[in-house]
Amino acid sequence: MNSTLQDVKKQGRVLLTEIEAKQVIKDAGIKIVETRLAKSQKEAVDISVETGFPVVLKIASPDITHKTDAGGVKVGLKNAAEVKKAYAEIMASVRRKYPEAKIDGVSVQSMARPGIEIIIGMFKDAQFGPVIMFGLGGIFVEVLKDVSFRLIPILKRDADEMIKEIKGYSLLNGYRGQAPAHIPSLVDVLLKVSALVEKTPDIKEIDLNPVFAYKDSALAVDARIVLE
Amino acid sequence: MNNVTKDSWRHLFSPATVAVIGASNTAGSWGNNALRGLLNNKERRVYPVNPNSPEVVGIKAYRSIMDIPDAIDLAVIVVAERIVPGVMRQCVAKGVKSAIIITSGFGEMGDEGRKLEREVADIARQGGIRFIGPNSMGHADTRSQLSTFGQFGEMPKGEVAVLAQSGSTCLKIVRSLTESGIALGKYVSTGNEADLITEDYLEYLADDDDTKIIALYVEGLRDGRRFFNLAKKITPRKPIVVVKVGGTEESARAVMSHTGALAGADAVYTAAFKQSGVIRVEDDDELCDVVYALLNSPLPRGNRAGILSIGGGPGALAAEACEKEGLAIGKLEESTITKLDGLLSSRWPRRNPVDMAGPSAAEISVVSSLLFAMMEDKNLDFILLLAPLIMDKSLLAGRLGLGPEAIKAYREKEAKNIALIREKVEAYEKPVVMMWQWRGFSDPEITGLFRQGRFIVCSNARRAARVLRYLVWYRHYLDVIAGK
Repeated sequence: MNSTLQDVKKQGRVLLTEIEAKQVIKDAGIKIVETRLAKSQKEAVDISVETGFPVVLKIASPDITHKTDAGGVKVGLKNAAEVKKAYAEIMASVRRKYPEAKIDGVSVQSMARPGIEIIIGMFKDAQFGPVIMFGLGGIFVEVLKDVSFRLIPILKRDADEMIKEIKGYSLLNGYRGQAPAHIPSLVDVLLKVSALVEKTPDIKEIDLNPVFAYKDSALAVDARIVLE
Repeated sequence: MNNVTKDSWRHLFSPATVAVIGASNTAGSWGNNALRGLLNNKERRVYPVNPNSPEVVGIKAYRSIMDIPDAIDLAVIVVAERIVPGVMRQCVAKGVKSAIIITSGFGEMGDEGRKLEREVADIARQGGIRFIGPNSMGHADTRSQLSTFGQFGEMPKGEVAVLAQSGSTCLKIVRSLTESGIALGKYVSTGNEADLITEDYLEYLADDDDTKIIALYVEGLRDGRRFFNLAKKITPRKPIVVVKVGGTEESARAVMSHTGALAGADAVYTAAFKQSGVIRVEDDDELCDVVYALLNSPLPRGNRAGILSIGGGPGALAAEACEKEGLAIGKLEESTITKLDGLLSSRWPRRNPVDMAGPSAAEISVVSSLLFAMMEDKNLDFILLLAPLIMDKSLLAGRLGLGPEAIKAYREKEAKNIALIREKVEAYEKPVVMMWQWRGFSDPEITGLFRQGRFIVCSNARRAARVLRYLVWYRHYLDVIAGK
């Protein structure tokens, strides 16, 4: 098993932190936004400078699931001063709302260049076992539930079909001047998620939400993993 | 509980001896119907069990199954639910090989019924008895002329198996198929599935040489993953057609992820069926249409419809129905247009749908030539026929003014044409769907000719388009898994 997952299990947790989940996804060979942990305000600034602005800061705590509600997310930070201020605000808000929470620091990541928003996920069905999902992100998934499913493991042809099957498929060909999505890269992500789950039966749920699809690649921006 | 032995299946479907526990003299009761139905097959030894009556329907009855001086392969249990556990215990003591419990009032009735059901299942399991039900309406095998449904008379032998988690739906499907001229092999009302479950029957039918097509009515599966794995193995050689209802229990799934919350139970069933080549239809009528088509027609190579219509309206309706179901209207080859020019008046619109534009009686006689021309067109994968292929008697005698001898000669010509169409249907792998003369089926002479041609027959355009959509999908699935 993946060493990150081993550590999480050893600690008796089922919910991976953002940094851990992203590490597992990266280890599975899926491109994901580089995200590093800053344990202090100074570290947050240093990492931001290395990564390049603008950046996103998110509270890193195994005890906080709803980061936005906790005031633990700041996006579009354009320089060191903004990062400093954001760090202080996040810490103040989280300490006030979750005084008991264990806080690792903040995660720092560069703002991904916007692409077509995709959601790719996995869960376990009581009847059929592990199932993989593909859909368009944002309102398409929230309101229209425009998603498709297959049982894991999937073959390339299943991945192809899943993508073509959603009602909004034509949006992947580009609209309103947006570049089309690179389908082979999305197929690749689906196959890698399937392979990861097949190899790791302990994984109960995965959300890659969003994945940005570009004209020549795909990049996962956020990841969430739950173990059995 | 897996691994049902071959012997268990043999005892269930072709028992040499059957005991009907709860056999009754009361006409119309389950215990009376089941017994009389079983007596159809004179070679089978059938023993009524009834503690209060020395004879049932004129044959010697036994007070208890223990009193029967013969080994029992199958016990048909039709007693009050309270005494089913006791009866099952006796069956175990007697060494009965298999059973079907017709009695209802078990798991379908709530907690108390569920408890009773578990008790019966435990007794049977410990005694090594595999059973159908409870709350089953019966099971049947036409090869061995066995039916516990209380059906009477000879059952025609066929190659379609039906499994249904509802007894009345099972019988409705069986009746609809029979009315379309389709003979069945085995069919089972699986009841509450306290022991044998849909997946068990499916595993058995997979290797059953008498079964070529499997039709299912499913409300919920116990082991979806097992169903999926079985279906994946079966569908490349035997089609599975399923009606699945009851897409509810979505809220039951506790999930932390976005993905899990988005997946309704029905969406997962849909995915599982698609991925394993199972043809999922909307209702029992579609199920019958598709089973009929699979038995009688090749699968089309693609989704391009050719429409041959006696007039504009029927053709337009058919074209619209096709497009709604994701089928394409094929573009006629130039050579086809030339051929049709020679057969039709100059009023025809020279495109697909081919509109005969109000033909005279003489023009109607060229329908089969038009059909051949369209079947030879490489841009068309199947033909919807909305023109009469066989002349009504009144037309022949009236408009064409033919006498009895001439009518007979005309019919012979039509029979030859039908045989020729059938040859081409098979050679080109192009189904022909008869959508105009389906009412002609009330005329036995015309019915005979149609049956000979094994046409898919649909009463309206939407139904025809949906059948074709399923066939096209299944053919595509088979081609993809074969790497074509």
